[in-house]
Amino acid sequence: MKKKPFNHLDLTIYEETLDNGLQVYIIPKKNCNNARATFVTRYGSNESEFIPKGKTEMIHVPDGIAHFLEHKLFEQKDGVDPFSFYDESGSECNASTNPWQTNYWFAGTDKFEKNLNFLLDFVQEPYFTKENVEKEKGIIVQELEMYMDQPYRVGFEKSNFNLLQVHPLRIATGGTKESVESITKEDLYTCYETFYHPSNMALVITGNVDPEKMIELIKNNQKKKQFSKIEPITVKEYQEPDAVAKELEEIEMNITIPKVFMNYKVNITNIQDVDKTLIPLYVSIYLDLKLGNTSQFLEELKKEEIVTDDIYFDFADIQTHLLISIENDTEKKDELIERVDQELKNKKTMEAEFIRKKKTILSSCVFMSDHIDRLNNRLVSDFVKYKRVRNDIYDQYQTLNYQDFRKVIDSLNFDYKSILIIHPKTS
Amino acid sequence: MKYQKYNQGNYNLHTIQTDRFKTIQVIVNYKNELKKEEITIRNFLVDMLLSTSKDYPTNRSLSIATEDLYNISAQGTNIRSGKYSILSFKSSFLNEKYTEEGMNEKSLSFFLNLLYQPNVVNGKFDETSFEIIKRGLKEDIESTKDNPRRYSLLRMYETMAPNAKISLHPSGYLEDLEKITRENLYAYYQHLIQDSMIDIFVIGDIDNSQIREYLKQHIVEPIKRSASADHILTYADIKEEEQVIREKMDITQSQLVIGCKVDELTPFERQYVMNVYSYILGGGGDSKLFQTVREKNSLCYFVSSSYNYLYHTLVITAGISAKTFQKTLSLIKEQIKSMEEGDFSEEMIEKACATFINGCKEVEDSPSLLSNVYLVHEYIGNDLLEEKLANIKKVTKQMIIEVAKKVHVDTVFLLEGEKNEKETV
Repeated sequence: MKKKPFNHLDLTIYEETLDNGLQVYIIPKKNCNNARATFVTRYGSNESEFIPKGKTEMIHVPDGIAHFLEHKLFEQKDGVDPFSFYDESGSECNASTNPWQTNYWFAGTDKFEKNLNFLLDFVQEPYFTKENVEKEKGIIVQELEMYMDQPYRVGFEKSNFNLLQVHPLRIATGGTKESVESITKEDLYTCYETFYHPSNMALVITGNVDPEKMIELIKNNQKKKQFSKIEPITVKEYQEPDAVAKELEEIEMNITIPKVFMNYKVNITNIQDVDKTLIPLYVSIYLDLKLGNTSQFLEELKKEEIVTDDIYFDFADIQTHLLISIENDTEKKDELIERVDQELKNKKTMEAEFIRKKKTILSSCVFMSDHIDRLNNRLVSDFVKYKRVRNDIYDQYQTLNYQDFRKVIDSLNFDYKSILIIHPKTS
Repeated sequence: MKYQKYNQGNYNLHTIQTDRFKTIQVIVNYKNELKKEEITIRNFLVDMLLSTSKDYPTNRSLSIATEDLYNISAQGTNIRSGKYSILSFKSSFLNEKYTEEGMNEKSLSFFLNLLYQPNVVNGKFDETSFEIIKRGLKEDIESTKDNPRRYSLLRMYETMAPNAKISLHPSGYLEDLEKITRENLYAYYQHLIQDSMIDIFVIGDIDNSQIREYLKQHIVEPIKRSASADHILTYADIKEEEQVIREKMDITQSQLVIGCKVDELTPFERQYVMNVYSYILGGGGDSKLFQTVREKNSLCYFVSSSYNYLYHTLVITAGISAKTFQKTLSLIKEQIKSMEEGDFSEEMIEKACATFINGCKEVEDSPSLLSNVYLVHEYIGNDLLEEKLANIKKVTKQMIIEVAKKVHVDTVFLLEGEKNEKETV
């Protein structure tokens, strides 16, 4: 097991890759009662077209299957329900699926070792039957219907659909009622066998644990199981064009104030000589400088009564492009859209402001390191994105510099955008 | 970890010294009697104090200052706590060991200046931020229906107890908002700092005598020390027959909210026995409601129960399809009834206790949870961690059956999704 300092944060990270390919990361935390373990696969709703393990032809599985699979792994052959199992030690447990990953986690202060064994076992012992697959459909359809009444969720899902032409991120993680109804037990096994191989997964533990004991337990657990040999997984690659699929859509929902979603698709393949992993961070600093609550721009928009609340902004990374989403509630949609557009295209920035933002990023890193759940999520998302975990994020953030920032910003093109407006229902 | 309470003249200071965190957290609470006509102005004041200050007269300059102070955070909420309303302001900042010397004092004084050096000229709050905040509060009040789940809960309480404090709207009222001016907001502010019961909590690797000194410099001491009474409200009227209210809305999923009234309980019952009861009935993935309604009958994605001892209510919520309303309701009622009959295992009691104990241990990992335990102890007299760990083990099956008899289904509210109905055969 390799041991490295988790720089500047008074922590140490232990890591090892097992013979079956499973990556294990452990950050013990002194002075802490709780511990958390996440078992994650680099498989989410984006992996909808791939060559199944042992086959040669590319297939397209029903939308929403990664999420369906997440639900079904909670079904055990011996009938022991994981929720019930974790309740015995008073621990929490849950799972979630997004476009890039599916993860299973538990957290608790008691019987951690027994719980860890169980986590590995319940995820690695699928049990799908025709009956239990059918039963789940009603539950998932209710989950999807719940989302259909959430304006933000609907807004972001539609935004991705309108922004992208071919990339699977355009499809909502949960799929549709119809696609969910069409899922079979065989489909589930196909996806499971392809993407839940240990070599596509990681186990991340943070909190009050002894790393030596943990790794021994994990090795013993894995030794008892048979896995197929490690093979690379072929997932379809997409050539997403710069142009958006649909420039404008207007819908109605049960809301009071109109919601405006502005979505930009920005190509980042032509940025040279900049640490690639930092590009999204530079872009987020830019958005914050331009639209955040320290910007002159927001102050003016509030004064002019174009917006009332802070502007929400976020982005998703699909390697070739960043998908920037900007959202606000406003009665003055045309003015908002025009002003935001102008502001993003006016690339004037000040170095002093950049340096202040960098300071907040470094501070956030220290804040994060105090919470085992946030720390855990940090490592998980690193693994999903890079298939490794950075122990030097603090050092890396210290290399953020104004020259590279300008290089990134100067190359951004905000010409490709898609607008979604949710209007209040006219009754 | 060391807890201490100081009498600082007419307010209390609570310190929790611990080296577990890289941050220092400060909470300042102003407690007053909950009155309907003051909800809106109290919400206004929270936003006003956090948006600008004398030193930072625009929200932009204030936001820049928080970044200069290594991302210090300052938040505030208007908490409804039984008979009381608590304006609670909280700040969290990095201990200077992780930034630079002198930052602890600078950070603390930044936060306290927000509360005690407001942006007021000639007895009036600043106009620009006043107008922005007013617009925001108006939007909040008007958009109550945007969140069907929250709206259903509000409607259920309004039906269950129209004149009780629990059915007051947390976002406030338009007619009250219209009456607020920059002058009377300042007058209310004066009233708040002079006449409230104030409790201040500081958690982290701190020097108590230093903290006490800083506070003396910044805090305006209340005029007199007010005594706190019991927070807990009770209902006199338990309905003979439950009330069923249905309302339609153009949404996909129907929201079912079942409000139960709970008879007078002993402190032990409300802290421990009801906790176990609610856990077994609808606390999590292994609960009776989750197992019956979701797992066996596939009727919903979420269903859960929660007990609020301040209001003597137990509320069950589920997202369902309107066409399964009767079936879901009768399944839920069966489960409530079965609690009275003792239809649950000893194993479930053990699990509930284990979850409770786990929760107690987690408290020490988080400054917010930790301060909350002392806060609730101060206000309501609930037990501290050590007592909690010992007492939870004393809960027996018979005790749970006894409290189960004190739970009465009172009001059933269904917010009916219309979209789904069209597809119904």
